[in-house]
Amino acid sequence: MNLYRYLATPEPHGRTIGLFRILIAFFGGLVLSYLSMCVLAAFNTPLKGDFAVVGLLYNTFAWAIAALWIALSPSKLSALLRFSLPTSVATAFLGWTYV
Amino acid sequence: MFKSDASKLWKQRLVRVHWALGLIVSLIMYCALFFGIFAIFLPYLQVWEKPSRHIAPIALEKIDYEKILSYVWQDALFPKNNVIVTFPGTKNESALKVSHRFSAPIFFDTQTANVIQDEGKQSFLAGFLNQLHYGKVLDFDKELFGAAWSITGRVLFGLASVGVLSVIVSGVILIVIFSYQKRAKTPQAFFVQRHISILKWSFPVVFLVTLSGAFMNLSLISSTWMAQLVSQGKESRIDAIIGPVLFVPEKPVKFLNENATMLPIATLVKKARRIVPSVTLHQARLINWNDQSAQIEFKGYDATKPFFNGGVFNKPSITLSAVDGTLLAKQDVMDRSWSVYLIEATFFLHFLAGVDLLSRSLVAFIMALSALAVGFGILSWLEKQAKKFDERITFYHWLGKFSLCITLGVIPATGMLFALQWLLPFDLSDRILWQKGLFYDVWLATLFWAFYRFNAYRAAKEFLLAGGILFIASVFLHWFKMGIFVPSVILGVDLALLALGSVLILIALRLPQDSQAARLFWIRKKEKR
Repeated sequence: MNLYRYLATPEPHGRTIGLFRILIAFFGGLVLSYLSMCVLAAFNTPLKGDFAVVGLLYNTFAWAIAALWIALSPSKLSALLRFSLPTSVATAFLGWTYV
Repeated sequence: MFKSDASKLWKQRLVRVHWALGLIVSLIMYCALFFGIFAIFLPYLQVWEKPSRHIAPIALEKIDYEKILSYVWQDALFPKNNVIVTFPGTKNESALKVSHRFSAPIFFDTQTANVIQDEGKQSFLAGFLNQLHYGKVLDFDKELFGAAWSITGRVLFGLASVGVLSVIVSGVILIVIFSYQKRAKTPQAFFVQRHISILKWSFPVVFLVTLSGAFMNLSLISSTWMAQLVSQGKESRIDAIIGPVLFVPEKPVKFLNENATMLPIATLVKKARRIVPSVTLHQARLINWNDQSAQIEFKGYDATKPFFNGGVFNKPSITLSAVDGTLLAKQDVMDRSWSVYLIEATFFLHFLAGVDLLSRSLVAFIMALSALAVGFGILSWLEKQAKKFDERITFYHWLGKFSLCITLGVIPATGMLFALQWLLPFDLSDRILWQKGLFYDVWLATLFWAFYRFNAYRAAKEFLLAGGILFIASVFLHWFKMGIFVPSVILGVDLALLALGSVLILIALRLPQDSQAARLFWIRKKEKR
């Protein structure tokens, strides 16, 4: 409960970003953007190749956006959720197509 | 209350992210922009740098292709089917190149149709500047040291370009939600104002170029996992998935095993031009040559449809029979899948393949302004730090010295690179190693000089002056060695380098001598009003 309160309380000011957010934004943003771009191309449609091009071309931009979005979250907890929830959905979807 | 608090925190973080990330990536971004400007003019530099390429231009129809091809057919080691003839003028190359997927290319003088002794890696100025542009640095050898450094450099530049994308997005949001003062009273406000006023207009170009750069340095390296994930583990190469979309598959043509006389290539070139007048022909592929089934496939660039073709993926093509010149197949610019246009549009401003000098210069101008704006961004941070000391002691920050070395010290180093191109003899063994090594030495020396000179303004003036002198010296060394080569772009490169050198010297003389004078220099015009 203490940990939850620590994570959920917004910081008093935003003049520094903090290591927690930096790490989540950098690595979490990478995993999130890479997996969601893979989801884009995972459907077996005639357009699979086209969507793979889009995924490959824009995954770095998606990383940039995701990292910014995570870094700007109001609290540490929401930063963690912004990474973990969409990543879980993407992972679940990819796992479902994989088997 | 809580709501406005959250919004305040959000804005504070946005500003902080833009500052911190911007500072981290700014110097790498500056290097990519600085060398990128030279890379934009790579087609002209690669002709200028090689004595063997000092060839006067010629019309495609007037080249003696038959003499060239007879040399190729006699070469027992050169493969005979699917030989690719790259016409002079493609990427401004003045020689004609005959190449094949599985063989080293042969270069021909277009005027005499004789083989050229190519300088090869003895002359690598334009290529080296291009490598510096995308981070393939310190690759002195193919052993572990060189390979490790070149991979590290490319990944580092790739990561920095992702950082730049974040900085661009946060910068655009900042411009939208904040209003900035028009009149600057302090140097810091002046730098911020210039930083914004330039990048406000140039960011779409910078964005597209950065995105395509990130694609080449990161996405391609990491594509294996994506290939496996999207193909349910069946493929490990992304080419297997995107290859059929991006590249038109080549079907082999059956041999008839009957000898036939081929039409002259000059005639086929004329025919192709009549069918597709808007396409500039870049290369021809000779299929089943000297057989009854022989075909010639021309590929080129359609200048009337920029952003749709011109890169690696979409090249309009036309296939003729080499026996009687009948039209066999034709692929227009607009015949491809939509994702091809997406990737072509993203890459167009980066590759600028086939684009003329004027458009190139325009892109280079935008990039030079953006590099200047990045410099203003760094300066505004340094001014902010310096203000804390408020003129009581001289401001001396390691990042300031390091930035001075990277942003301005690179100019004399590059000037040295150009001067050495004509100073070192072409038969010197390990010529390129000497050239690269001295380039890095000069650059490192500017770092020492930046730390040694207490007054950064004086060091900056000295760097610009040295750079200007070296650029001008390289032109005179070129003239001394090769003579003035009048009717071509080679003289154009000379004049451009002379102009660059003169401008650098002029700036060196105009810039202020110390921080007091600088204050007046940056904001004087504003105060006069």
